[in-house]
Amino acid sequence: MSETASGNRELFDRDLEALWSADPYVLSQADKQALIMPLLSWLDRHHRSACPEYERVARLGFDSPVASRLEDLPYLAVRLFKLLSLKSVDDSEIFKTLQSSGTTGQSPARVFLDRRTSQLQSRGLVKILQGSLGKARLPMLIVDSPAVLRDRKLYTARGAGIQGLSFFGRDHTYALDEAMQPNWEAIEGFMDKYAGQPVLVFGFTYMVWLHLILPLEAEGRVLKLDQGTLLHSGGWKKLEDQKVGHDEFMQRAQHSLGVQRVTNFYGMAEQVGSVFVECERGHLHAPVFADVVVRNPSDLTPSPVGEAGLLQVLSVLPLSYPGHSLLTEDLGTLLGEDDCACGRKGRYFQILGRMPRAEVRGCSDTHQGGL
Amino acid sequence: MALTVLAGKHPDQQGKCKLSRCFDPGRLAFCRDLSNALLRHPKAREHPELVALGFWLRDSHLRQLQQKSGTDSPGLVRRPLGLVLHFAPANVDTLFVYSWVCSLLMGNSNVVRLSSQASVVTGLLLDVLNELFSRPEHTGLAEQNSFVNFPHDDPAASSLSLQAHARVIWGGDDAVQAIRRLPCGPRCRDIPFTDRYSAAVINGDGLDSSNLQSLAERLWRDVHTYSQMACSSPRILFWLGSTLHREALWSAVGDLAGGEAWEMARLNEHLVVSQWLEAAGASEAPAQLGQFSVLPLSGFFPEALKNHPGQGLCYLCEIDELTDVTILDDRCQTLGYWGVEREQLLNVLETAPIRGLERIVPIGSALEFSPWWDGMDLFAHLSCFTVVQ
Repeated sequence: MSETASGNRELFDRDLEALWSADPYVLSQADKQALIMPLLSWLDRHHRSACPEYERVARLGFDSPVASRLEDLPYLAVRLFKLLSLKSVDDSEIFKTLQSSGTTGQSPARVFLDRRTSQLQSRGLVKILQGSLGKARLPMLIVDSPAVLRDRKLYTARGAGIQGLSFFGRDHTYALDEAMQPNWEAIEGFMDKYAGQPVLVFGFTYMVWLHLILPLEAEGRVLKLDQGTLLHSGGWKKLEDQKVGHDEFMQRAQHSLGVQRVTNFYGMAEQVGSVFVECERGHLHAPVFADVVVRNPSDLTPSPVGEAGLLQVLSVLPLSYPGHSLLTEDLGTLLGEDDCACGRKGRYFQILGRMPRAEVRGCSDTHQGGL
Repeated sequence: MALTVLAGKHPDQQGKCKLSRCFDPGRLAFCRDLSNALLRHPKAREHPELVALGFWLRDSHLRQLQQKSGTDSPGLVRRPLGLVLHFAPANVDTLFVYSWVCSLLMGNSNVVRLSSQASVVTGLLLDVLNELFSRPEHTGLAEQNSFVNFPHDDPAASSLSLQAHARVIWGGDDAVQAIRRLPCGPRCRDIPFTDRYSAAVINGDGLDSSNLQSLAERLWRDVHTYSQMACSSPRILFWLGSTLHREALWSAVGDLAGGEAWEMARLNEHLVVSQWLEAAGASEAPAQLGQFSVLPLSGFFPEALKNHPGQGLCYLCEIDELTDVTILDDRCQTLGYWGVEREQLLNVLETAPIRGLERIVPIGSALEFSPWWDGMDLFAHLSCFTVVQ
């Protein structure tokens, strides 16, 4: 790290500390930008000086080194984390390496975390989710198999998500066995113990659907977790393939699990900690230390409110890897700024699913279209 | 066997021992009818590849090919090979017709296995073939040609492969190798068409405002066909000489590209590949991502060519001398050229020890199929010779 960048590190730390003191959703977009732009600009400089790959992309691909708006900051295509080892710390400082499950035929994304970044991620998650879940740790039913955390060498994003969320619960009970079948004994034990009490049910959207809701329906069972909250996250792609929409998922989850509240959040392995939680109106909100920009897929210019495009996510948390500004492959629409009926300030948006990948054409029939 | 017949006869019912002569008049007549049917097809305008195929099948063109194939050596009689099994590519819809016609003209009987991902164009082609096969004058041909589909792992693959005298295999490297592992007779010939890429070289010294538009159109023709995913479309452009009109050329190509209905994911794919190469240090100048994307490379990177996203993106590589194109590896199939003398290219080929580069054609004709493809003479591979002394 260069002399100047590390000199500014203290300023960065101080400004970041100021962000934690505020409620994540009270600042207007203008006030929030004034707070986070210096932090994001500092991260841009920091990664330019510490990560040569990022420096080359930022220098060659983006005009001005001084950005005044979120929209002017350089961004990395999120797939680069699958193609390259991108880090802004020495190998000796890497505390853990997060690995996304990765779709078939592709190498998984790798995200290098030092202790500080990892701490910031946990802190971010706590800050955001305590708003939805309260401060008390609730009995927690995890809709996954305990096997997902067992393999320590392979620290997957799924494992990381579960581990991160575990902080919000106690008496962690895994609802599935190693074969991803419902562990009825564990589930019933959990229900008997906590019937009528507030509980937290957490799982990845598709896991909850395929491995809990559908088996419950098939067996004609319902869980009576009427004081429970289902928190779920993860891609809708597989659900879309089965023609299951957001509302249908919610209704059938409420019916099968008996829960009243079903809360979705959007986040990714490349930006753990800065998650976008859905409000009562069904809108995803950017917390104070993260933000979103929607870009037109045909020229990558910023899209106005109401226009669907590629989602760019920004976060002030990634210090050990250049992930503070990422262009995702998810489609979304910016719904507005500061004016969601739920009262939260800042930008809010919705996700429309993965951008369809180009049809593979070529003389070959197995080549899966490059990168 | 889960074998579906799409056109012609079931392979088991093919008339045995009914091989024709090479360039048999009946078969040439069939090609003429096929050409007419394609050129007059009401949907032909929507699918330029059908028109291109129709033109290629014109009688005069086939006769030219016959002459070039040089079978008139006294004492040398060209004869059909027997049964040829074709594995068609999944996505370049019309390609299987070209190699099938080469085999047809050699007098062979054929079984063509089409991909299960049937496209609109494949559907149109099959309709046309079925109509032609139903005509009384072509029933003989219908009995010796089968267009079929069966799953990759179906026993039909092995049983047909064992009967074949030659196998024409289009596919990615892995698919071709998998098919070549199927059992076959000891004298069976394989004609594999595997993953390749192509390049082009432009000499900027000859470029001025009077010929710029024509070059842009030729380049665009080579680039946009099959969304640039065909092996013969150029992925890398070598630039020799003056760069004075280079920007104007890119913007002229961009204007032509403006009307193209690309996939939504296109520009992001271009961004991924450009950032990947920038990050890896393979590119030292800014990429231009737009209707036509140009991505400068600071050298030759085989990985960049393997992972090319297509859809109107060319790598750009400046060279000092024409012989520098020989940095291409043996996966390079076609080199398009503009502003360079044919003799110079022949000279490069004769002096440089290179493999690959089996087609060197003017820019604008990269996609024109010829029986001399991937370094092979299809007519020779799909026939056999008897020496009579």
